[in-house]
Amino acid sequence: MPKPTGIWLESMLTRELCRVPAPAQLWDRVQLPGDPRPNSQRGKAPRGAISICLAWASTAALLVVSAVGLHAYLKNEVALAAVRSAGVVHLQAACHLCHSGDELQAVGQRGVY
Amino acid sequence: MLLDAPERELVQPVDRELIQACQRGDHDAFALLFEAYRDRVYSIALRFSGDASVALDIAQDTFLKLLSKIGEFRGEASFESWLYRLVVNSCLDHRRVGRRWSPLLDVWLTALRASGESVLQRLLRTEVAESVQQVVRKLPPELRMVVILRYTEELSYDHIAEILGCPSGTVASRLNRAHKLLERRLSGFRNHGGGNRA
Repeated sequence: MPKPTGIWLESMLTRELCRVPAPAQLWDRVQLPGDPRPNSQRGKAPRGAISICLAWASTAALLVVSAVGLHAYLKNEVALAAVRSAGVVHLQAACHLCHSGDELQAVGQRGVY
Repeated sequence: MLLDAPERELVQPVDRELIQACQRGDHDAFALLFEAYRDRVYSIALRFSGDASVALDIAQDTFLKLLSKIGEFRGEASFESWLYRLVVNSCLDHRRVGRRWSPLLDVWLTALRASGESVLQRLLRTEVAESVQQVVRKLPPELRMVVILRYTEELSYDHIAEILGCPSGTVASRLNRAHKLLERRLSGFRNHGGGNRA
């Protein structure tokens, strides 16, 4: 006769998931004074460490590229500003020249009349 | 049902002096502590990972953490709860490296190594054991851990809640969900319940 639902499962889980003795080699592995990493990780860098290294390297590269880009941009911007300001000065001078010519002409004309 | 396990009481809770000796770096005290808890730590790791070599890694990792962090143990919670928390964290940190390449071969070899029982009986028993463990391994980690703490360690809901840092109600609902999943997947073995494992 089948056991009621729940009871059969609990007894099965209690029986099949019971505590087991740890192998003797566990003590040796805990005792090892050298490489404290588990066997499955020995001889290769842990994945976490590799990820952290990659993250740092990417960040550093990004920072360098950003710094170089920003520097180039600022340098360019300063040069452009200089060109622009020089252009403006020239333009202003030209305008002044033109306008002063007009004014002179107007003054001359007013003087004439 | 969960209470009739007298062997659970053989390991007495460690006393404060032993922990203090460990905190002072006493090697013999650490050996005693290891002796008292090695089976618990290894069993949780094995039931969680389902792989003996991964379980050894997890257990080693846990005891190394214990060794390095025992100075931080202030005795606010019980030492057992603190250690269980270390094991649980080590289990959750460890990703499963891979499935065993041949679980069927494992079952057969275990059956053939058996003595006393007929090979057929033994095969059936190991098949049930393997299936239960496989189904438990397929549970989501948070459900699996509750099941293991409940059935491998026979802890109360409150104790599990303390270890996992969640309310008892959460433990109850996780266990309920796990039961439903397990019941559905293991219903084929419902009538193979009798007998104790060697």
